[in-house]
Amino acid sequence: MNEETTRRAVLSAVLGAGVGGMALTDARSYLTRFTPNSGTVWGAANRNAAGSVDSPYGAATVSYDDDHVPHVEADDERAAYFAVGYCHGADRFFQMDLYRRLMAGELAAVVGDVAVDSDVFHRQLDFAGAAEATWERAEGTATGDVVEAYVDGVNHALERESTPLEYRLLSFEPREWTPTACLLISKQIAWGLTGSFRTLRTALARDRLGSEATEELYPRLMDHDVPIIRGGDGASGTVAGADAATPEPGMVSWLGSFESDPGVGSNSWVVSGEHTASGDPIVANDPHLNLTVPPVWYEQHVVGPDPLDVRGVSFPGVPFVIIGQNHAGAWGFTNAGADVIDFYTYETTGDGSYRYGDETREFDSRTETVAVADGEDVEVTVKRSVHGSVLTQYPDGDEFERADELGVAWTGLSATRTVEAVHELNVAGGVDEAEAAIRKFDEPTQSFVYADSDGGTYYWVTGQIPIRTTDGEPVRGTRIFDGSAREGEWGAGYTPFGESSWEGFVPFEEKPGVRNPDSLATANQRLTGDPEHYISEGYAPPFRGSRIYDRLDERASSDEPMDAAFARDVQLDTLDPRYELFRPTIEAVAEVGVPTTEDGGSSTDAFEPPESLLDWDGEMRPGDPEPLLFEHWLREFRSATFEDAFADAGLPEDFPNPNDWILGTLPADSEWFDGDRTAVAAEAMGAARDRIADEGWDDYGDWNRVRFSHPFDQPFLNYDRLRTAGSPGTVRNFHSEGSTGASWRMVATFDGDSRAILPGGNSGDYFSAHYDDQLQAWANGEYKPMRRKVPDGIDITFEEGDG
Amino acid sequence: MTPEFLTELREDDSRRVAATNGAVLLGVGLSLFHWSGLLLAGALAALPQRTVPRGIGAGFGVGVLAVVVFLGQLWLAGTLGPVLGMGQPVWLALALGLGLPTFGALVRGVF
Repeated sequence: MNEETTRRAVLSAVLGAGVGGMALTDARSYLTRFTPNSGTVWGAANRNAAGSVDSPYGAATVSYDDDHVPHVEADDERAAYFAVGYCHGADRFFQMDLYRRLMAGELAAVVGDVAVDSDVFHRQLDFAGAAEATWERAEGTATGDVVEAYVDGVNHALERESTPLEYRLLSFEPREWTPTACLLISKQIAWGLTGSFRTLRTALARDRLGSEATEELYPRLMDHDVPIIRGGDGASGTVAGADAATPEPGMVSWLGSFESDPGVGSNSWVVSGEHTASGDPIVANDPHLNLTVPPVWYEQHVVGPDPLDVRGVSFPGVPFVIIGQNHAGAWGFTNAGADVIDFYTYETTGDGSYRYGDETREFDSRTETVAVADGEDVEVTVKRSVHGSVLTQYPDGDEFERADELGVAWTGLSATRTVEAVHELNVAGGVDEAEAAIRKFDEPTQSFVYADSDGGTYYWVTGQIPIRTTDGEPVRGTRIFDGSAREGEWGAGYTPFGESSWEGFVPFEEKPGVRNPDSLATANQRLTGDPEHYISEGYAPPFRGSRIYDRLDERASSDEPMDAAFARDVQLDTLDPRYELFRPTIEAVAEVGVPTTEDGGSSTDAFEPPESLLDWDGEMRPGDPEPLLFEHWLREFRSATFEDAFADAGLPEDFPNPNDWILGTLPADSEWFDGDRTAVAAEAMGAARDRIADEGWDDYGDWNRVRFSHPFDQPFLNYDRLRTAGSPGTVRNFHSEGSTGASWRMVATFDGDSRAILPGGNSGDYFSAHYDDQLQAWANGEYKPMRRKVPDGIDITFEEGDG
Repeated sequence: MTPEFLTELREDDSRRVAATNGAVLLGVGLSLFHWSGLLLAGALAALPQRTVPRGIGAGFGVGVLAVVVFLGQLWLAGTLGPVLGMGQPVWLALALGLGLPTFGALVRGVF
């Protein structure tokens, strides 16, 4: 064979192997997605919702403003919401679809076995069944008709617009949107705000630490004097009765991963015209939810048949404005912390039946299949009891004897009317109509603040709060109940996976609320000192609530009236009340000194007092070193106080420590400090300094950074890491290591200068200029206008057609 | 082993240039629809060239053109900045844009 023949043979072989390798192996998938020009991924870079669109509901227009907020105009309400659906579908469809998959237990089908546990949990709780029941209730109503128009708009965008980047990266196809999917999104919101396993955690703590210690560390009510509705003596926080079963630590940890991240909460306040420069009320709201990419909220302005003219934020997948302002009023929500979930064990017969009072009932049971991408399908048993769903991680066949299998009653399992309530709230013409709307707000339980242009102000707790009874007597939902003995029964109005009525729930008028408050601040703290009914087994510490009230009170008693700029300043307040609470401990540490670490070993004879902390003003500013030391000292102090004792007691590693209010109010000689708080605090100070030195941080902003991650966690999809102010204890709320904080900041006035900001951008399209265009302003504490004025120019024209 | 029409094509400058241009247009056009278009574009552009190195060079040139078309489209759509900000995916795309036609051009060494 000569040289040329050899070359031809070698090159033929190389070409053949190369082409074969490309066409027949996994490489083909990369080529299909990423090759320039033809790569499917790059098709997403040419997305741009614009032009003319057919709509079966009639004419509408969409004008995007400079922040990519769609201003929708139509003469017909359904035409308007078809257009809203189109905007949601064009800008946020992947996010909507991902939430739907999460709640329906269908994530593993696209992301693989990493999501199997999540799918099993969501199937067991059967959010899909609850959403279906809720849609059955709404279908055919005026709200249901609008929801259907919205769904059609979403699906039209899906057909007409280019498929979002995420589908192209993962190589799967979007499925059409449905009304049930809208209600699954609503269930996701409700679960995030009220789906708590605190009852199980405190039951586990009672088992491992004893009742007295649990009452001390995890009290139902914290001892402070700034409830939302101020005044009253404060109700007793003790828990009556024993738990029906011992909670299984593994089960508690497993379930904890399906709760919201720590820090979910919110601030809101309303001040009447009595205290404002304009004579009109002001409403401020900043909900602290998961800080996600894209943001959890979507801003929109919808103008329809009179009086529809509403601007604010919705959850993508939900047609209506949840928090915002319309022609007559402005409103906001914060989490009320009400206890709307209970847990039950049963005496079982071993053949799929359980005792319920004098009866024997069968579990309503079925098997579902969780599809797993690149893996084996997983079978899951979905079981219902008389109370609702049945949850289990690894059933060991002991039939509920240990609480590794639990019946669950949750208000969200019912067909609820919240979508109808929000629909009506969007067109409410003042306080009275807003109240009428909010009476239908069955879930989640929220603190609702409202003000109207006539000067009316309003605060009420929304949602159904169950009245539990055992032997006919009201009981608190603070323990695991024996379902077979009919303990902790909810009223006859509760029908899981069916239509509940308000029978058996706290009547609307008997829930905490105030009509025409002068000023009222909500920050997830206790609702009132003396509630008529049992409301909750746990609230947020009072740090934010007390600070807001301090600032409102101070201004109200001064000669200077309040205005929007003042309200925004309060929203951005960075004074951490935890500093005042812990300052005596820091002073004590300064007196004894701080152990330092030398050459990797601890030295107890070299001490440095934390003098700079004593000169600090308590403001959590990114440019200062003191908040960095304070925050990390607090973390070390908390761990040093509880972790060893908890481990010795057999609590799981991820068991949450008591909150900072509890830590800060423990006596200096408490047994949790082994009798010497100062010594523990000094050790913690040394550890905090070591950690800061090891990490090379110079100031608070080096650590306190925006770190929002896209669900795919690809570097280019995540937002930039930006230095920012605030802490878990400040009104300007931010959890650096968690993923919660102000998901929307809004200050609404009645002079046309309402302002707001999103942490990110209104578009979920990575290639859009509006993917993260509000992020820097958000991190800097700036706001943008939230006017109800439609900008010039039309981006999308909807014309009567088949759609 | 080289087909006679290719030998004749390579010896006639005007036909060679025309064939090269046609191959480039056809190949780049096909590359808008499927990744194999880039392979084919490189191969078609390489075959009329007089030597193997020149053929491979022509393949690489097709790759440069494909990349320019790709980036130009993104620039016109206003998304060039975000695409370049993607990092790994865009470097992969550029490597494929340059590499596939160059690899396809190896066929010049066979015929």
